[in-house]
Amino acid sequence: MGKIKTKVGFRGNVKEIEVTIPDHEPAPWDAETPLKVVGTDVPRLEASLKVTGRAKYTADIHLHGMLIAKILHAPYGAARIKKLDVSAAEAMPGVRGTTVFKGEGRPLLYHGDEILAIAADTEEQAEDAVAAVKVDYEFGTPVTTVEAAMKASAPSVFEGKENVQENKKARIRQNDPEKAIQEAAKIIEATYETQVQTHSCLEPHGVVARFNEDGSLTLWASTQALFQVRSDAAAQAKLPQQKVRVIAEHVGGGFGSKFALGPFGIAAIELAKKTGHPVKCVLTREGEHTTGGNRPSSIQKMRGGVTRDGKIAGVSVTTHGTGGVAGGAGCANPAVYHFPAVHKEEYSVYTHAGPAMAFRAPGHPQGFFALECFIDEMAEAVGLDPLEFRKRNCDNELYHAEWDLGAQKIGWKERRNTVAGGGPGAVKRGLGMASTLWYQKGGWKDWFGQRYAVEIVATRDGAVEVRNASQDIGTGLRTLLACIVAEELGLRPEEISVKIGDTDLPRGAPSGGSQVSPSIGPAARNAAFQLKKKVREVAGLGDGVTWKEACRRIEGEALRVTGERSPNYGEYKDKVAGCQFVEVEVNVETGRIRVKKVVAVQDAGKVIDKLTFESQIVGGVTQGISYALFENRILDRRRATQVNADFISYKIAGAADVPEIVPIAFDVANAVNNCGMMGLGEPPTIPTAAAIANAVHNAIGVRVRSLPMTPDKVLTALAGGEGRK
Amino acid sequence: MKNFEYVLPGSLEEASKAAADGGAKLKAAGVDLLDEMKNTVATPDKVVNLLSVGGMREIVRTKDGWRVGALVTLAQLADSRLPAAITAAAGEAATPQIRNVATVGGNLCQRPRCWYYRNRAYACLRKGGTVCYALEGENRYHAIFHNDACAIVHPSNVAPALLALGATVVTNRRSIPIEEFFVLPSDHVDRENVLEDGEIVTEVQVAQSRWSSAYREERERDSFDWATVSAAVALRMDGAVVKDARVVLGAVAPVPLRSKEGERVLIGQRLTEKIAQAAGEAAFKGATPLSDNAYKRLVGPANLKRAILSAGL
Ligand SMILES: Cc1cc2nc3c(=O)[nH]c(=O)nc-3n(C[C@H](O)[C@H](O)[C@H](O)COP(=O)(O)OP(=O)(O)OC[C@H]3O[C@@H](n4cnc5c(N)ncnc54)[C@H](O)[C@@H]3O)c2cc1C
Repeated sequence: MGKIKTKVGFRGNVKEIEVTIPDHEPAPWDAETPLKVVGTDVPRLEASLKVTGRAKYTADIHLHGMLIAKILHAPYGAARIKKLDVSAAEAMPGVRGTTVFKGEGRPLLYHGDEILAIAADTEEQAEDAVAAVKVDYEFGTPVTTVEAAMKASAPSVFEGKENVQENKKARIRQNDPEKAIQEAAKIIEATYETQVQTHSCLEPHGVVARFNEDGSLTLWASTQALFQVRSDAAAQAKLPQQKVRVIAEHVGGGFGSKFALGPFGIAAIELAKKTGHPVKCVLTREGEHTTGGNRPSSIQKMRGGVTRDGKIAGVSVTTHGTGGVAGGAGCANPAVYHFPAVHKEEYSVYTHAGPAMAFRAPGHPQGFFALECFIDEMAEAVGLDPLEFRKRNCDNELYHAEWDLGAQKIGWKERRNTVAGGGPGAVKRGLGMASTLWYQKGGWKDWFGQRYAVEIVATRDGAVEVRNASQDIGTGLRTLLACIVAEELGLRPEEISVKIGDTDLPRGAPSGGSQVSPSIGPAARNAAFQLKKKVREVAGLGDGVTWKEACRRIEGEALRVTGERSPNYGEYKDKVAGCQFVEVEVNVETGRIRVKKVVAVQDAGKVIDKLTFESQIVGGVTQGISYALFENRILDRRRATQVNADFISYKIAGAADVPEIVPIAFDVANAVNNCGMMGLGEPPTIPTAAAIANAVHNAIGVRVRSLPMTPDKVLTALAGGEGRK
Repeated sequence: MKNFEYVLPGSLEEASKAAADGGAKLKAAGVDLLDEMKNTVATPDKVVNLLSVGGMREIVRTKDGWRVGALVTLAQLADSRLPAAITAAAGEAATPQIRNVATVGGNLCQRPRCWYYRNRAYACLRKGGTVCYALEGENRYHAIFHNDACAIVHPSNVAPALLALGATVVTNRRSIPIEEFFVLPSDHVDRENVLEDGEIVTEVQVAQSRWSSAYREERERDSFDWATVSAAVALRMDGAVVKDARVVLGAVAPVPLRSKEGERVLIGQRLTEKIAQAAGEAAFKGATPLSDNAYKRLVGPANLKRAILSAGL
C-alpha cells in the first residue's frame, strides 16, 4: 500500500487529494493524465454482429435433439386449481415430458403464476399440448390496486397476513419535522402516483439446459447474473457448482429482471433430466409481462415547509406501493437536497399481481418523480425559479456545474415561461428540469464473496485477448474493457478481443446496481498494467520495440496475466450526480404531451468510451419518457388478468416518440479506483419523468401528478379535477 | 394451433365455394387473421387465401370515381389520389411494414381489438359467451356510443373515411352502400358486418365529387397505436358556407358512426372555429361513457373540430 497524490474533480474545478493505493497497481487516471483512447468515441465491438443478426442470444441456441418446453400460466389471479387434467395433453404428438409446479388445490395468486411445463419435439407441439391441459378454476376476489388492498374489508392476498406491510428499515425521523413544517413560511402538500411498469426486455427470459455425458450440466441463459444462475441451477440439479457451466454470450436486456434461474430455468432442467434431451424454455411475451418482473407502483403523500428565503425547512413523506405478491415497494424520496428535518414512512402492499423485481434504479424513478415535482412546487410557493431553488438547497458543486451546463444547453433563462401556462393556441410549450443521483463505485467481490479478476492472454502474433465471466446485458462491456486495455498497452481498441459471458472464465460481476463496469474495468487495467511490465521485462517492449515485435520474442505460446480487483481507494465523490432539462409541447384540447427535446447531463466518474456512455444516457432517457407517458400494466379488476400483456396495448415509446436527446457525458476524475469509474446504467432513467412533468406544468400551468401522463389525466387536470390528488 | 386445410383458389368462384362452410376463413394478407389464430380466438378448419385468386390489387380510375380492389394495400391507398380523408386514414394506420401488406378488404373486415375478445381465457359475448367483460371491467379504449350490450369499437381507420365519402362495398354477390355494411351488436353480436358465408369483398367504389374531406385521429403515442378517437368529415362548400356535410366518428362505437347531430350544426352555416366546435360538441352529446373512457367525450369534440376545419378551410 502506498499513498499518492492525485488530481480529482472536473474541468474548472480540479483539486488534489491523497489516496492510498495497493502496491503493484497503477495510479488512477486523474484530471490531468493524458489519455489516447479513454474518453474518445469507440464504436461497440460487437455492433456489426448485432445489427446483422449474427449475435447468438439464448433463444437462438439450437442443440441436437433439443426439445422445447412451454409453460402453462394461470390466466387469472386470485384463483385456485379445482381440477387439473394433463392426460389429453400428454397424449398429444411429440410430447416428451411434463413437470408440474402447482397441482390441484393450489392457489394461483396472479395472472402468469406457473401451473406446469410441457416439453415436446417442436415449439408448436409444446404450445398445443399446453393449450390442451384441462384446468378447472375456482375464482376468488382479487385485489388489484393499492387502494383496494388497503380497505379493511379487502381479502388477504396471503392467508393470515396483512396486505399492508411497513418497510421498517425505511423509517426516518430526523429532528422535529412536524414543527419545522408548521413553522415554515409556506406549507406545501401534494400526492403523487406512479404506475406499475414491466421490464419488457426485448429478449425474453429463457434457458437451454443440457446434461452432458460426464454428468455435468451446461446452461445457456438470458441472464444478468451468471453465477447466481449457476448456484440456483446446481441446487436444482443437485450438483456441485463446479459441474455447472452457464453461458450468456449476448443478452438482450435485463433491467434487473434476470438475476435468478427462474421457473423457466427450473422447467428446462427438470425436463432435461426427465427426458434425457437438452431442453429450451423461453417465456412468451405474456409470460414476460406477467411473471418477468415489474417496477412497483407508488402513492407518495408529501408535506413540506419552506422558509421565506427559499430554504427547505422540513418534509414528511409517506409512501404506499405494490409489487404484487412481492414486497419491497420503496421510494427513494427524499434525496439529493438538504432536508433539515425529515419524516418518512414506507409501506408495501400485496396485490394479486406478478412479483416486482429490481428494475433499473429500484425505487428511484418513482421516488424522484414525487421528489423533483415537489421541489418545483416548493419553488413556486416562494416565487423562485426552480433552478435557483435547487441551488439554494444543495451545496454539491458537481450539481451546480451540471445544472448550469444543462440550463445553458436548453436555453432555460431565455425560453422558459416565466408565467406557467397561457399564450395563444391549443399547443403550449414549456421547459422543466430534474436531478438524479447514484451510488455505485464498483466492488472487488460478488455476493458469494468471490474476488473479481480479469485474465489477459498475449500471444506471439501480437494478439491480445481479455477474459472475464461477466455477461453484457447491452451496456457495452466488451468495448469498455478493450478501451481500458488498449490505453494501458498503447494499442487500439480494435486490436483487442474480449471474451465474456461464461462461468468458465475469471470471476465476473452480476449486472446489478450499475456495478459491472466499475468493478471489472479496474481489474482489466491491473491485468494490462502487469502484462505490459512483463512484456517489457521479457521482451523489451518500449525503447523502439513495438508491441508486435516484443510479442514475437515471447517464449512459449503466450503470456497470461491475471489482474484482480482491489477494494476502492478514497474518492472525490461517493455518488454520481446528473440532471435533465426537457422541452415539451402540450395540446390543451386533446391532452397530448409530446416531448420535443431532452438535454441530459450525466457523470459517472471517468468517461471511458464516450459512445457507450452516451448510449446509456439515451437509453435511460428513452425508457424514462416511456415510463412518463405510455407504459402501464392494466389488470382486470374482477379476475386480475393483465389485459394488456402484449406490445399492442402495453405501450412503449417507439422511434416516433423519441425526441432529440442531447447526451452530455460529464467527465469527473474521481480516484475511486484505478480507472476512476463509477456506475452509469441506472441514473439516466431516474429524473426523466419528473423533468417532463415539470415541463408540462410550465407549459399549461397545472400539475399532472400521476404517471403515465396520458391525455385523459392531462384533460382532467386542466378541468380542475385531479392531477392533484 | 389447430390444423387446417389451406386452400389456394384459382378464381373468385372457387374461393367463395371453399369459404362457404362455417368453419372456413378468408385470408387476405393475414395480418389480422394470423394474430387471431395464434391467440386461438379464430380456429378455422380451412383457410382460403385470397391472394392466390389474382387481381383485385389495383386502384382503377373510372369516369366518375375510383374502384379500389379489395387486395390493394394500405400503402397503395395512402399514396393514391383518392379523397384526402381516405389517404390520410390509410396512412395513419398501423406501421409502414404493416401498411405495405395489409389490404383494404382486410382492414374493413378485421376483427375488434377488444382485449377481452382477444383473450382466449374470456368467453365473451362476441365469442358466444354471455357477458361483455368490458362493461364492468377495463374499458378505457372502448365504446362510448351503442355500448350497452358489447362495448367494442370498430378498429378500422379506413372505414370512417369511406363512410364519410359515401363509398360502396362490392362483393362477389352484391353492391352494398357502406352505410349498410357494418352492424351493431344489438343486431349481430358475433360479427361486425353484413357479409354472409362465402361472400367476398372484391372492391370498394368511391365516387368523385366536389366534396372536400379530412381524417383526423388522436392516439396516446405517435408510434403505431390505434386511435382513441377519430373523425372523418366530408363537406360540400359554397365559398365559406357549408352546403352539405357528412360527419363520421371512429373508435367510439362498434361501427363507424355517422353523426347527424354534428352535421345538422354545420349545414347552412359559415364555417368558423366556433361552428366546428359546436358541431364537435353536438356529435358527442349523446355519449354514454363507461367507467374509464369519459375522456373520449373531451378528446372527441376537439379532434372532430380539427377534422371539420381541415376539411373546409
Ligand atoms: C401493430 C398493429 C397496428 C395496427 N394499427 C392499426 C390502425 O391504427 N388502424 C387500423 O385501421 N388498423 C390497424 N391495424 C390492423 C391492420 O390494418 C389490419 O389487421 C389489416 O388491415 C388487415 O388486413 P389483412 O389484409 O392482413 O387482413 P386479413 O388478416 O387477411 O383478414 C382480416 C379479416 O378480414 C377478412 N377478410 C379479408 N379480406 C376479405 C375480403 N376481401 N372479403 C371478405 N373478408 C375478408 C378475413 O377473413 C379476416 O377475418 C394494426 C395491426 C397491427 C398488427
